[in-house]
Parts: sequence; C-alpha cells; structure tokens
Amino acid sequence: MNPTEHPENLNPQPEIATEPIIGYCRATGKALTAADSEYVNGVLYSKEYAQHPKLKNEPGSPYTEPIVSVPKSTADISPGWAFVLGLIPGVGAIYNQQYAKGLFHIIIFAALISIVDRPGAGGPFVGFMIAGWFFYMPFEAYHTAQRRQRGEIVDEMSGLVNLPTGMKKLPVGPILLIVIGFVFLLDNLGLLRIDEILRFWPVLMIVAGIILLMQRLQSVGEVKEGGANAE
Amino acid sequence: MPSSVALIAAVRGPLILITLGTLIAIDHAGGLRFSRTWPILIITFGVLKLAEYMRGGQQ
Repeated sequence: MNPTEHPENLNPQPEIATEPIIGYCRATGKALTAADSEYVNGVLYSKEYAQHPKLKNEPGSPYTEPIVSVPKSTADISPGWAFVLGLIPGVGAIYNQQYAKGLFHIIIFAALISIVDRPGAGGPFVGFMIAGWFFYMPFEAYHTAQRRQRGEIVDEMSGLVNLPTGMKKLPVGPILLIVIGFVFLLDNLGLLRIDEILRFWPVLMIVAGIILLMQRLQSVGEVKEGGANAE
Repeated sequence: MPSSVALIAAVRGPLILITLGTLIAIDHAGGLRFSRTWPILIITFGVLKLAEYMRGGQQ
C-alpha cells in the first residue's frame, strides 16, 4: 500500500466541511467547526442557537457544572440521643457515624471485661477503668454530636488520640491497635500474662507525666523563641 | 499514591472477613480456639490502617 495514501480516500465520502468538525450542537445536532460554535455553560452549541433565550434558563451539564458542596443538614443530630445511645458500648460512636471508633470502643470494653473475668486478676484498677470507660463513651458521643451539630467536620478517630502538634503525623491509632492486639494474643497463647503487667500500671502515670512535662517545656521553648524573633 | 490508599481501604473489609473466616475454620478444625486467636483480627485491622497511613504519607 502506498504509505502516503490517506485511509479516508479508500472509502470516499462527500466532502461537506472544509474545516475540521470539532463537535455537534447539543440542540440542533448540526456539525460544527471551530468558527461557528460556541460554549454556553460548558455545552457546545452552534453560534446561532447560542443566542436562543431558552439557553439562559437551561440547567448546566452535569459533566461541566461546577461542584457546589451541599451543606449537610444538621437538624437530625441530637447530642442527647448520642449520650443515651453512648451508654451502650460503641453505639454512641455509631450514631455519630464513626464506625471504626465504635468498634474500638467495643473492643476496649470487651478487653477490660475479659481481664476482670479471669480468676484472681483485675483488682480495683481494672474495675475503675471499666467504670471510667463506660462513662467516657456517652460523654464522648455527646460532644462529638455537638460538634457535628455545629457543622464541624469530625475526624473518624477524634477524641481518641489528642496529641501534641508535633506528633500529629504519627499513626497512633493503628499502632495502638497493633500493640493491643499483640498483647492480647500473647496473653491468650499463654506467653505473657496481662495481670502480671498490670501490676506495673503506675508506670502509665509516670509516662503521662513525662509526656505532659515535655509538652510544657516545648511550648515554653517556643514562646521564648517567638519572643526572641519578635525583638 | 492516593490510588493505593483507596485500594487498601477497599480491601480492608474483605480481608478482615477472610481473617475471621480463617480463624473460625481453624477453631472448627480442632486447632487453636477462636477465643485464643481473636486478637489477630485487631492486629490485621491495625496493620491495614498503618499501611494506609504510610501510603498517604508518601504522596
């Protein structure tokens, strides 16, 4: 075959347009060249049809319409209901559409109860933790519902991990899940005893104190630096 | 890459379901009891979440 021969010439068609056709009018279906076409609301029309008064009221094409975010209705969010449902482990978070957090609540609750359940273990520390967790859940759901009512965007794991700003990047939730999972797995397989570890629970207070201390020292340092820069 | 984040998020449910099924199957086959192996579910969920974070951090 002659390589210079145009494939269209093999199947000859009547030549109507000399200019390349760029599209077809949405209303009339007429083939349009670049010269006699016009875009109205992102839709291609022929030049003459584009003047049509009807087009002014035409709804835009869903493909080209600019995205307008519809404000979510917050009327059906009730903090009171969130609180009541929060008394059932996990349900308050589910009411706030935070399903992963609901699962997390249930897992923590079940884990605490299963620690207490084993003979000769638990003690007052775990008992108080259950009570505290039980009341934490409804209040957390209440406040999340309030924030949602105000139209704030609530993170899926909000309230669970409130970290100092420098640590926001760390995926604390997943790491916590993995650690908890490993501890329970080792305990279930008899390689580690949770109640042995729980004897050392005051260490948690020390760690919390150290974290708070570091935070305070950091913020003091920032204030000092800021003051130095301002001078 | 955001597409791999979406992929991980999409396969999370099925993978956890598969893990759950495997654990219960092991239980029924007479191996380790499910009451001992259930934390694997939490670990799986945590690992998938972590993978999602890592991918998100790389973009």
